[in-house]
Amino acid sequence: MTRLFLLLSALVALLAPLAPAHAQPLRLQITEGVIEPMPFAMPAFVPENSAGAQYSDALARVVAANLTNTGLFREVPRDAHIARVSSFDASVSFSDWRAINVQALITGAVEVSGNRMTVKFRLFDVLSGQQMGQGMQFAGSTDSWRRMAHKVSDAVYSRITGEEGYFDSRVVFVSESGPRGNRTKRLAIMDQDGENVQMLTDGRALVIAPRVAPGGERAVYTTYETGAPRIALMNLATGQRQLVGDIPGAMTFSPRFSPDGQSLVFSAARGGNTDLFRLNLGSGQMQQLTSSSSIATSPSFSPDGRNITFESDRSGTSQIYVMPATGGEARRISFGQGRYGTPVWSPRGDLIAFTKSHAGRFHIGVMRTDGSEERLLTASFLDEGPTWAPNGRVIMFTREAQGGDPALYSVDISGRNLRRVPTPGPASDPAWGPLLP
Amino acid sequence: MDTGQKVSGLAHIGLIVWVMVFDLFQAPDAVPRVPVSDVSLISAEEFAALSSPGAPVPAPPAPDPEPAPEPEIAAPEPVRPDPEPAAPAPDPEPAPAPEPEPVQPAPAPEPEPQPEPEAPAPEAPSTGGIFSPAPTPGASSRPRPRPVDRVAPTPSEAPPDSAQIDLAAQPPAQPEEPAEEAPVVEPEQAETAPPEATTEIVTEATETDDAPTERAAAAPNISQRPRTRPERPTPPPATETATETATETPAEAPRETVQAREPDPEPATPPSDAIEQALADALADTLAQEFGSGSTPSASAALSSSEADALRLAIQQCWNVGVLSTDAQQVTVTVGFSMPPAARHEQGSIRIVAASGGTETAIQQAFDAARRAIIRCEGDGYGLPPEKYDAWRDIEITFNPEGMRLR
Amino acid sequence: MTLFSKTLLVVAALALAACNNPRGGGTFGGGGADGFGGMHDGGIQSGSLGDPNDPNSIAHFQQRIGDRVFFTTDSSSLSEEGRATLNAQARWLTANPQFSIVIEGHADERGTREYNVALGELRANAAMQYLISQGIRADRLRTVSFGKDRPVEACPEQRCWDVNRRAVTVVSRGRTS
Repeated sequence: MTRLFLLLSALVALLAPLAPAHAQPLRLQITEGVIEPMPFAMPAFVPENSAGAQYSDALARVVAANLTNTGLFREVPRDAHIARVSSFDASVSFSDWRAINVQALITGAVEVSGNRMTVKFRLFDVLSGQQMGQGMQFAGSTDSWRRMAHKVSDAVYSRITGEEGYFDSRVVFVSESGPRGNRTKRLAIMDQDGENVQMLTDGRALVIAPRVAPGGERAVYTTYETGAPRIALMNLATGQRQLVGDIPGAMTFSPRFSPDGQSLVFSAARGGNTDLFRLNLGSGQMQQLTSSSSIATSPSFSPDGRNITFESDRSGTSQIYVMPATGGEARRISFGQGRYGTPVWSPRGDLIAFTKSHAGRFHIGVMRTDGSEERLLTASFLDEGPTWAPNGRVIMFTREAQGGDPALYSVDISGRNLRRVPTPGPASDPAWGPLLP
Repeated sequence: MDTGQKVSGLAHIGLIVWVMVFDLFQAPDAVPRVPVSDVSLISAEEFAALSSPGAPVPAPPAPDPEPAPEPEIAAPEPVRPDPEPAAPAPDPEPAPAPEPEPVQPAPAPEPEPQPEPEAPAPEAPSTGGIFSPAPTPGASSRPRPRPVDRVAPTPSEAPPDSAQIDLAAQPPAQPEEPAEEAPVVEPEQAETAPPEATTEIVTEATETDDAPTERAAAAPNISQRPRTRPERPTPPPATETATETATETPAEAPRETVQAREPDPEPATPPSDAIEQALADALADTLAQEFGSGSTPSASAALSSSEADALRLAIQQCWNVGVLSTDAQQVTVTVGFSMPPAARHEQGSIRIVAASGGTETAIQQAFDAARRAIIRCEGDGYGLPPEKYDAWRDIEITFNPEGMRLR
Repeated sequence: MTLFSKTLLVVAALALAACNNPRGGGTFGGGGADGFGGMHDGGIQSGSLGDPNDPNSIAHFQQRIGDRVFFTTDSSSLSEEGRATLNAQARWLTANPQFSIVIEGHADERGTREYNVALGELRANAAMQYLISQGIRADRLRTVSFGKDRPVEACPEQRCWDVNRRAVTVVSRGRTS
């Protein structure tokens, strides 16, 4: 029986390539490819005047580091380069790049006058010998030279992968110092690659779990400056902050913006019960969304603003639920083993990232918004609090090794390319902001 | 059943479970990506206005940050799903030394991607959690793939340092290739090796399974010499079925004993030369009957299936879907091109014949990747038989990433 | 319950509390016990802890009565021991009405941050409700939760997690705000 089946299927398989004969083109079907980093070359930017020379190397290094950090690209180091790019407009000798297996070539130029700089780049598909898209130019102040390198990186990434980039974005997080039993925690902000760290609070009050507004101009977080958890809203540009969402007799925490930035959803705990509330930031109007005698926390809006996913222990253990953004019936979506928490809706709307703990380990995972296709991306002593890159392809989270300090890590949504995000000291609770305009 | 079979079988089951459970990129993306405009100039004023508020002043030109150190991937982290039902057993603060329980998730029968005719029975299957929709990835006790940058249909070991990584030169032997010609087994030839690859994406959660010692033992300290590969025009011999389908076949897996008894991952592969012969005969008959004498291709004009396969394999090795957007990974694109007798693509002949499943941008990304594959792996030519030039002068290849989305 | 067994319980609770109080008679502001600057923004209160042998001193409350109760994983149920400690606390608080009370709820580090804030509130509330049931006026009492951010013992081991899952009764002179 098996033989017969084998025979028949073999026949079918063999017929396929034989059937088209004569003048017909040979038709093949390829369903198996590879997934591997694409080799690229990023020679130093060509300095178009002498003042630009000091940036020519640094710009190229930031771009190369960004691309490499995605795990999708691999830099062919400069000392392997055969061709020298000495002029931005000179024709490219593709054979020299092909010879060292480069597939994508980025060339750039930089010109500086005073504190103004102009950065240009071109992207080439080395194999086909064609330019990918037109050249692009950015102009700005020399202070923002890193941002211009990030802009170049975003454009390159986007042209090759078809995804929006995420390099020109910032991350708000909690910078930690001091003894564990009495940590000093300060709100801080940095570029996505860990550069340009700036403290936002002075550390006198404990702060936890910041979130960035959709526009990136504000952050909301939980502060203990009154002694108990309260929600603070901060203007990231000016550092001004105000407490919002006061509910008498309640601790309020775990805030998150709605997609339009106009309202917050947060937890309020009082009388041994934690429920979700929604606050309109403009009118100050407040609405209670849940009222069960259990914990409901870590709410997160769907990008269309219609639903809220949150964590609740109403079933006995922490699980993930989805309910309408106006409140109402909540549907449990997590049914795997262990406990689930901190659900965060992807900016694309297709996935929910979460923390899972099971059998003494913690995981960051993703699942579809109906709870199907759960996929665990990490495993460690303590992983928690995922936050999405603006393009929904990368997740950053807090990892604490056993007995170690917390640190920030990022991982691709396929589970590849796990890496530590450099921070000056112990860090936790990252909140990824949007792509800057 | 020997060790090789068991390892291979287990790895296949693992792969199948993986594929079933984690077809992450399956569903279409609701929001199509907006293509980046080709030309965009930002004035200095605009840029300054955008970036000035709160932008910390950097000290230019600061040295580039070191690339983030590789996280402790090597550190084995034992986690196994244990079979306790997810019923209310609140235990947020687990015991200090949780004893992982070795349990395999129930291997569900799944025909894709490679049915196994004689898959070894999984050991101690368990139903696992009552309603766990997704067991912890890699929960079985099979050998775990190492985290490697490359994911390919056929895994390959890390090449020896002396070997040049060369995708184009040598298509790997594939178990599903029926040998229709005399097998040519050549002892160690050129030191070329495919880059190290696994057959699936290895997440940290995948590899948390093995006890440290187990993993240490499974990981070969010294990578094997690359296996012998036939010259390109010659299809791989049938006995060369020992291609590692196991994701992390330890070096000690005895290659010699695997040979033809290795369960073939594809039913299309005849288990022996005898059947091969029988098939060829049957095929000739069938062809004669079905197509009539008029449409039966003359033997000299058509590529044999192994010749076509060799071309297909050569190109798929260079088809990198990793850089494709999730949108582009939905696109099936048919790419046509012509080849002069030198069997390299004709400049400018690569074109889109048909495409489905995506936006214009996504199709362009998919086409770009396909074009790179065709150009990248041609090397000095695809080594197609000159006497059958008519059969491969024009080629159309359909690139369907469906299977790859699942990895 | 006989007088004897009551006494036994109290003694046991005292002994336990004394063992488990790592701060001993350390320095102590007027407000939050676990390192926080107090319930009052800015202003610093100072006060003597007094002699533990003085039954009306804060030191006595902390060390002899026992200022904290412990919980099992993911639970806010008071144990028998915990109730005994709270009974003793209630008696002391009744006898010392000049003190106001803040109950801090804490969780161990084996959970996510925000869930633990909610869990800490649950624990603090459980202790507060019990004290109210023992006759303490509700307006003397307040709760605060620190989640997992103020562990009393920082080690990645069960013994630390066990003492971190707690509700601490912090007394101070004067009214809570």
